[in-house]
Amino acid sequence: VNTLARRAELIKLGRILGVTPEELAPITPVDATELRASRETISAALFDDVRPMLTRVAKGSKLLPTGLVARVGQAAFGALLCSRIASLLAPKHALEVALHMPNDFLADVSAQIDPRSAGEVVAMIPTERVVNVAAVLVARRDYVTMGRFVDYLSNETLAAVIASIPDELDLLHIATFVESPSKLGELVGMLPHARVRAMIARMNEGDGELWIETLAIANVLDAGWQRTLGDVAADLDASVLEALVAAARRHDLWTAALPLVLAMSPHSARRFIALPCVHEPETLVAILTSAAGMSEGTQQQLAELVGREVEVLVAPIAEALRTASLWEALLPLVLRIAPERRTVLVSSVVESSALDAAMQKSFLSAFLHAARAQGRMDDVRPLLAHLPPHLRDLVPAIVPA
Amino acid sequence: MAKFYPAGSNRIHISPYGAGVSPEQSSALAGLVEKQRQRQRAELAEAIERALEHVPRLLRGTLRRMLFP
Repeated sequence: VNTLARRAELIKLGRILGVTPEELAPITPVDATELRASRETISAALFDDVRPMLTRVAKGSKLLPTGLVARVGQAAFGALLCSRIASLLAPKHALEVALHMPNDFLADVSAQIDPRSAGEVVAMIPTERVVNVAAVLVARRDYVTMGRFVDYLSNETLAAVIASIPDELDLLHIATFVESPSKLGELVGMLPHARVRAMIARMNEGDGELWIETLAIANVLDAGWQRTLGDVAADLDASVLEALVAAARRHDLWTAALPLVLAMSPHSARRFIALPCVHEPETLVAILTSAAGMSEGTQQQLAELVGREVEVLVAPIAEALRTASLWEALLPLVLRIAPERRTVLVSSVVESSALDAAMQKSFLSAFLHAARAQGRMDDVRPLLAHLPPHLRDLVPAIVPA
Repeated sequence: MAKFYPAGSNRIHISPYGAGVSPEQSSALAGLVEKQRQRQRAELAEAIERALEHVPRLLRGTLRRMLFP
């Protein structure tokens, strides 16, 4: 998810410096926030370097008819310099000039301009014109530019742009690059439910990139929207959630994927938990390991989900414990589960019918050693009373009082 | 990361690199900024000359005096 934000910043900085993101990547080993700060500083410094001359150009343009200024701007100055000059013109004058320019050229200027310096002009451009320029940008797949302008367009104009873009994946790509979380929430709220559903239904296309983008968006939306997206995904073909699991595994994205799963309604979460790919040891280990580093609230939500679905999870957890040293990650979660369900989980896992006596002893031993290492023996002792006698008798030998 | 600031009118200077960025990386980025600064100045100068050719002859002198006082 962070990689996506960094990629967007590399594209924007590359445009300012006239180089590709690939050229920039090796010499800017910093995160998106730092890249953005650098971009803004570099852009301002480059602007300041030619500001005196551009200011004179802007003043001179007042002597000429607007149509001529637009033609000269396009033919002589090009998109980058026009974008710089636009911010030095009075908004009304800039708007008049812009309206004389063709859509293709306005799309070029949009890619170069800093929307913050031209926000007033952008807000004044008629909706129909914005829709036409947006069509050019979508055809070019220039989602970075479109995402940057979302903050500066009225909701009425945004609704018209959304309605004019038939492909839901284009909308997803644009939303990925929206910079303001509150505006992103408004944007998603403008999508009819049928279009959200159509978008999520395509998450099983490609190699997981679509889920990465969706998670990047979901992570800045509120819990209500996360629940909506999660429930829609769970209501669709199982391949949609399977693609989520595959993407989270392949790209190590559980810290982004878990909040979406945990926001689901109980019915949807049950569908997720029932997926065979969730039962695979690699998935369970990755989920539990990621959860250990997440917030207290997230860990509690996960514990409640596991507690609700203990019966489904006993066999997969036992299988995962065969292949990985998992108790260290599992124990804190187990101790957050309601006592009655916690007892069912631990005793069922240790006593699992799939395990022979030696393996049961090995499980119990690993569990108790993890509890002692984490100073949680007092929390664990009440559980031991619920173990069958042959396992309970082993406890003193494993952890002498 | 790096900080940039205009120094006089001849060059955009780059401050010492920040944490996580090597001197070589910082220097390479500064090189790109400087190259773009020079390119931008050259493009602007050329653009102004091209623009003046589109301006009615009667206004051209006035505009040239405005642009190059």
